[in-house]
Formats: sequence, structure tokens, C-alpha cells
Amino acid sequence: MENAGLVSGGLARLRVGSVDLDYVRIGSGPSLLYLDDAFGTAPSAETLAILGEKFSVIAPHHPGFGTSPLPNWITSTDDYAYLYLALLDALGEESVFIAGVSLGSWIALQMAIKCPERFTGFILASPIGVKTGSRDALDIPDIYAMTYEALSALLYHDPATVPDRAECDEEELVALARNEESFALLSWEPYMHDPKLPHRLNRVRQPVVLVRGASDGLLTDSYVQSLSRLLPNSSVKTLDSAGHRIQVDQPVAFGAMIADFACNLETPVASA
Amino acid sequence: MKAFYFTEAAYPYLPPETEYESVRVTMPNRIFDPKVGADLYHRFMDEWLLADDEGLNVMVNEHHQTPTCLNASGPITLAVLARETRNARLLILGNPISNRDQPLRVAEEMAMIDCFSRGRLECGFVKGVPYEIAAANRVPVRLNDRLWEAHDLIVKAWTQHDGPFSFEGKFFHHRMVNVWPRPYQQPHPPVWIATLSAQSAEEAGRRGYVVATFLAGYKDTPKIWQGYQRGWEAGGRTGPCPLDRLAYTAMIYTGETDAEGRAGAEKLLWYLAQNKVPEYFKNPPGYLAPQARGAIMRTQPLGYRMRMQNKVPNLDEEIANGAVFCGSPDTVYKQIKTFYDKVGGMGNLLLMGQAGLMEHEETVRGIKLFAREVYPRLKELGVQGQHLDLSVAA
Repeated sequence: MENAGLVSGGLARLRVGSVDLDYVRIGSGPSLLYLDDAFGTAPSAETLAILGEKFSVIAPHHPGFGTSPLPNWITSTDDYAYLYLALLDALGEESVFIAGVSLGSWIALQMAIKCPERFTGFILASPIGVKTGSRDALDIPDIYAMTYEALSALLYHDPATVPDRAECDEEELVALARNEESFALLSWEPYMHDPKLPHRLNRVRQPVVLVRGASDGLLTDSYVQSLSRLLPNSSVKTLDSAGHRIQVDQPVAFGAMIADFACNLETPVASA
Repeated sequence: MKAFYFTEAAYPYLPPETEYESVRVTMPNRIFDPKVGADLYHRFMDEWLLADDEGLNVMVNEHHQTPTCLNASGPITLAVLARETRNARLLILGNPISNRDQPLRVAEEMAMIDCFSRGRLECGFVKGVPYEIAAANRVPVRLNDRLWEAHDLIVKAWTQHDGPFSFEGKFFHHRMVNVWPRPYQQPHPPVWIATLSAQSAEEAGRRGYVVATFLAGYKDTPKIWQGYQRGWEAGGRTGPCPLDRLAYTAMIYTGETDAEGRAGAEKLLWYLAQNKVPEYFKNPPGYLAPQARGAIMRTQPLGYRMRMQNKVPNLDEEIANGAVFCGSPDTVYKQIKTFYDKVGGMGNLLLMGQAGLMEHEETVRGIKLFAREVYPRLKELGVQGQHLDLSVAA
């Protein structure tokens, strides 16, 4: 399973406000904040190792996902944005690049609108969190009204890579149940979006690349294009043979895309 | 013992199960013929009124987006009953206050019912079954917190009489609460909490409310009673709780003969059988704690829920479980008495006496036979002063 085996030696814990925040610190190079999606129980070791070749990666474990309980005051992606800004403050990171996937992209947008000057650029894969369509149709299919099998077909490019729940042990299943509960809290209503974001994204003048997996069953190309139009300085890239969980389906290609973009910015991130 | 007659008031004329994904939430309402539905509303009301005439109390519940229960608003049905019944206590089990938007609206509705009925309301509050989540679009996380905050606001609204108060909770905010009318019963109508969980039973016990459980059977009922007792004592009371704090729901059909009783009960099993619902409606994230949901993900259903999982119910099994009491009046009495003794007693019996395709005449016969031949004997049990038998092993 791609979530087996956390990076050993790289896991740290920091008290941020009232929360004990676990995060991975790995690699060397320019600082990169990596924000994972809601569907796995921890940022994948493989993805972090690949990113660590080019960057000094900071990858928090989202509170309420995996093994950590959800603090009772957290109700929105905004709360995570403030937590991770505080994490960057505590680590003395004034200027970072952000890479996010799905929920991670949503949190990244919430961080970006608050203090865009802290960030050199963004790669936001499988970006959720914004609604651009009409009130009469969901922009994103209702993940709470479909079977695990149906959802997996939308999340992954290759059905053979879908984790089999029958093979998970009890601890893993409890962690997945915890994930689902926390993600439900963040995404239930309004469904999978923050209605304020379209009015705030104009602040994000830093370069943004939105990445969509060609096989993503949750986000259409036109949805991602419409999100791109809300950002002053953005473009859209498609990654072949990848579904919504881009970092799981194509860790190497995704890592290369991040490195390529971050190292070639107009104001390139400074080398370590 | 007090008995309450109840039906879920279903629209039973459905296509074969193979033709739909889910009986709840997504069944298209083109299946509902309004002329047939109107007749059903009146027929079920006639049966409730008959129950009142026969000396039984009555109970209604509420469900949404489902043909299994046409009472999309319990208070509306209750309002008709408040006007049309004479003596029956009127139990709503219950107001789904975790899901409803405005607890104050519930406070007003219940105060109105209590006044209309001149103090006959028994007011139930429930978290609601998991398939109500999709219909209410209520985020399924922290529902217990939401339920108790709604409850606190409702009770405060009923019991504050000196003008407006403010309330700024986690879920509900008001600056000016001043509910008219106030309830007929003082300080407020009796509160019931329906649950299958010992923990919620404990919350009910702490407050001295009535706890009602549903088809929990021989196996789970003692645990719920013990949970209630723990709360009862934690609330500063000593000794076993009075039996009038405990309510048990069963499917009950009384015939002239055992065969007739069983035939009626077979029809009641429709309620268990007609529950084709996909996992994502039965088990929304956060409705149960991660430990419990994790177990379900491995397809290990918990206890009572197993009977709700597309399993063809078997009458003898359900009788053995304690979910069904049926037969001749003597048989029904004996089954209830056996259950009563085994679980430590209960002071309230809630009868699901109609379900599915059971027609009016058969329902009426069952109500009358129960009321005339069984209920008088049950009145000896669970009377004022009798207490939970704590010697019964959980």
C-alpha cells in the first residue's frame, strides 16, 4: 500500500497553538510545503522521497486524518490554512513554494489569499474548493452518494492500484474512517467549495500551475479551466495516466513537474 | 405498563426491489399516487383514533424521502391527533433535532401540540437514523453535540417565562428567544430519548428522561437499561430507576388464534424486509465513531443493524430475538411477560401494529384484540413504584 511506511527519522511534532502537529521534514534544497489529499492516511513515502531529491520538504499530517484526532474547534479548510501558516512561522520559513493535491490544493488556496507574499509559486493538483457552475448542478460528483468502488474508479487511473479494503487491518480501516469523517466535516456543505474563494483569488499574483490528471473522474477539464480564469497568473497542465490522486498514480512525473516549475520561475526559488 | 400504538405509515405499493437502488432517499416520488396516498393518510389516522377509543396511547414518528414512512412531518400528524383524540397520550418519537434547522421551531410546535391536546404530549427527541442524513443534508459529524445543544435550547425556551433571552451556542445562535405559546404541562412535557446506544441511554438517565429502544431484543435491551441506570445514578439518584422511565418497541400482532397472530406478524416483517439501502446511506462518515465504522467497512455489521441489511427476516427468529410478539392474546401476553422478566422490566410498550401491506380490517382486529385481551393483563406490570430489576445480568 502506498501509505505503508512513513519516512523514518523525518517525522517531527510541533505544538502550534492548541494543536500537536505532526509533519515530515525531508530532503534538501529550496523549501517546499507539500499538502496531501484526504484519501490516504499519510503523505506517501514515495512522493516525499521524490520531492526530497530537489527540495527541503515540509509535509504536515492533516489533523483529523490518519491517526490524529480532529480538534473540536476545526470546521473548515480555513482552519488548516492558519495552522500551517503558524507552522511556517515556527519553522522560520518566510518564503516557500507550495505543492498540493485535492484537499491540499484547497488549503493552499486558503493560505495564498491570506498572505500571498509568503509564497513563490504554487502547483495545485486536482484542485477542489471552488464552485464556478450553476446552482442546479454539482460541479463535482457527490462522493457521499456512491460506493467505495465507484469513488475509486474516479480517483485512480488504474483499477488495479485501488487499495482493497478487505486487505486493510483494523487500524488502517479506523484511520480511513477518521479521514472520511474529517473530510465530510470540511466538504459537506457548501459541497466541496468555499463560496468566498472566487472573490479572493485575485490576490494571488504568484505563478500558479493547476494540474489535472487526464483520468480524473471528479474534476472535468472545463472545471479546472474555469478555476484558472479566477487566478491572475495561472495555467493548466494535464498529466496523462493519472486520476484524481495524481501523487499516487504518477509520483515520478508529478515530482518532476513540480521541480521543473519551481526551479524555472521568473523569480526562481533560491537554491539552498 | 402503558402501551402506545404505532405505525410507520408506509406507502407499500412499490416496484420489485430489483428495479431500484435504494428504497430510502432516492426512490422517485412519481411512484407516489397522491389519491392512494391521501387514502392512506386518512386510513392510518382512523387506526390511531381507534387505538385511542380502545384505551391505548398513540405514537408517531418522522422520516424523510422514503415510502417507508409518509410522516415527513411528525408534528403535522400529531396536530391532527391532538384535536381528534380524547384520552391517549401522544408520543412523538421523535423530533429529529440533530437534523432540523431551528430548534426553536420545534419548541413552538411541541408547545402548540401540548396546548391543543391539553397536556397529553410525550415529546421525543432523536438523532435520526443514518439515511436521514442525505435528506436533511446535515453534516453527519458531531451530531450528538448538535442534538444536545438543540435540546438545551428547546428546554430553556419552554421554561423561561420572563421575556427574551439570548443563546450563542456552537450550532445555534439567537439574540431574542421568547417562545409563545408555552407548553401546557409544567415545567414541560415529558421528554423521551430514543436510542440503540447504551451511551445515549446514559445521557437520558442522567436527566431522568424516558429512554425508548427499538427492536433491541433480549440481547441488547439489558445493556441499554444498564446504561440508563448508570446515568440515573450519575444524576444524583439512588436505587434502581422506576420502570416508567423505560420503553420498548416491538412488532406486535394479536390474533384470535396463534395462526392468525403469526399471519399478521408476517406482514409486519415488511418493515425489516423493505430496507434495501446502499452502504453510503446506511453508514455516512462520522455518524458512528471511527472504530465502529472501521468494523463495518470490513462488512461486519453491528448487532441489530444486521437485521436491517437486506436480510430476509424470519418470524421465529425475530420472536426468539424479542423483536416480535405475536399469536393469540394468551401467547402474546406470555411472550411479553417473558421478555419483561428477562430484561428487568419496562413501563412502556410501543407496538408497531401495522406495516407494509397489512390492510385496514386486519389492523383494526389486531388493535382491538390487543387492547381488550392483552393490555388489561399488562397493566399489572410496570405500574407506578415498580423499578428496574438490577439482578438481571446484562
